[in-house]
Amino acid sequence: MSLCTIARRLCLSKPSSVNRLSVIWAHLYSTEAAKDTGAKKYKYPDVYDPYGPMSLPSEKVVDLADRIAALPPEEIKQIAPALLFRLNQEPPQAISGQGFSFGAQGGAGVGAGKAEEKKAEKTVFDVKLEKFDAAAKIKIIKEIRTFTDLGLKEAKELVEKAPVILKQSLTKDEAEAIIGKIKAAGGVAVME
Amino acid sequence: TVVTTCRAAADSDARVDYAFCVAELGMHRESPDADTWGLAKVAALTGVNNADNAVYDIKALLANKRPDGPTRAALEKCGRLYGSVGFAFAEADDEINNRRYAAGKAKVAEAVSLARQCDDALAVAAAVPSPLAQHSSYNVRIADICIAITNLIK
Repeated sequence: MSLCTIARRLCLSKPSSVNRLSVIWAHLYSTEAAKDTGAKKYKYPDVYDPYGPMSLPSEKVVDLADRIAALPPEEIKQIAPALLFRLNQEPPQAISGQGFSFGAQGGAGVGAGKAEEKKAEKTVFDVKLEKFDAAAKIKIIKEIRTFTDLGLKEAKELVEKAPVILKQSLTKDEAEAIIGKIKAAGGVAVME
Repeated sequence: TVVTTCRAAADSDARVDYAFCVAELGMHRESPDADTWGLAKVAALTGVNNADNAVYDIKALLANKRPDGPTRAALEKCGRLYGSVGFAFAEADDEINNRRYAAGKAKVAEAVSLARQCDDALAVAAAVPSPLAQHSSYNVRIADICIAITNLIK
């Protein structure tokens, strides 16, 4: 459900809520518009229906609207950014000269949320050589040289340090491919 | 090919054991498609493998046979020496790979010298017969092959 749809439905609430919704819109748009662009405040009409007739909202939505309308002004300002974040909406673009903007707060909030999501999901991995069969040592050394720039001596030194990190900052697919090669060569490697 | 290269190496250097050359180099996966340069590297790699096998066997001897004091000390020294032999051959491979053939051959010669020090240590300890005789012999022969083939690279 888009934010615009929610806005339309809130506008179509019962008469007892109409005036309250007007107050909401006045705070959301007039105040923000005045703050962002310096435009004069504009008072919306008592009944505002920019999208034409729609079905009446559910009791649940009406109740929600009443609760929003009862909030203090400073909290009402937080409704739109919070909805954007919860509904996974992109921050709206500021309209030049018209003032319909949610300001920096909404964008920063959404960005922070997405950053947290990205931070929680691990996207790079290291491959660690755990151990190897002595008889397979040369095979493993040769395999390591296929995905590194190491000479034979360096690769040999690396293997003899096992357990040791072989390669860092790989995608999951890359890491799994290397682990498969090491396994085929007679070693045991894991993803970290 | 392995056969023609080993033949040429044996013809150029009497120390090269032709049959040994064909048998040992022919076992490697890269050998069928390798040119002379590639086979020189295969020989060096084979030297690495022999040295690593020697180290493994030395550790097994120390753990299982419980040799007497002098022999134990000699074997411990040999473990370190063959470890260095392996790295010397590895460096030889790297040098040859980088087309620095003289430096590569010098590393091979170093590997031979290191292994000989092990033989001397075992002789002093009166470890007869030497438990590493096969590794020692193999080391010399593969070194000769590696040097001879490197000399053939154009």
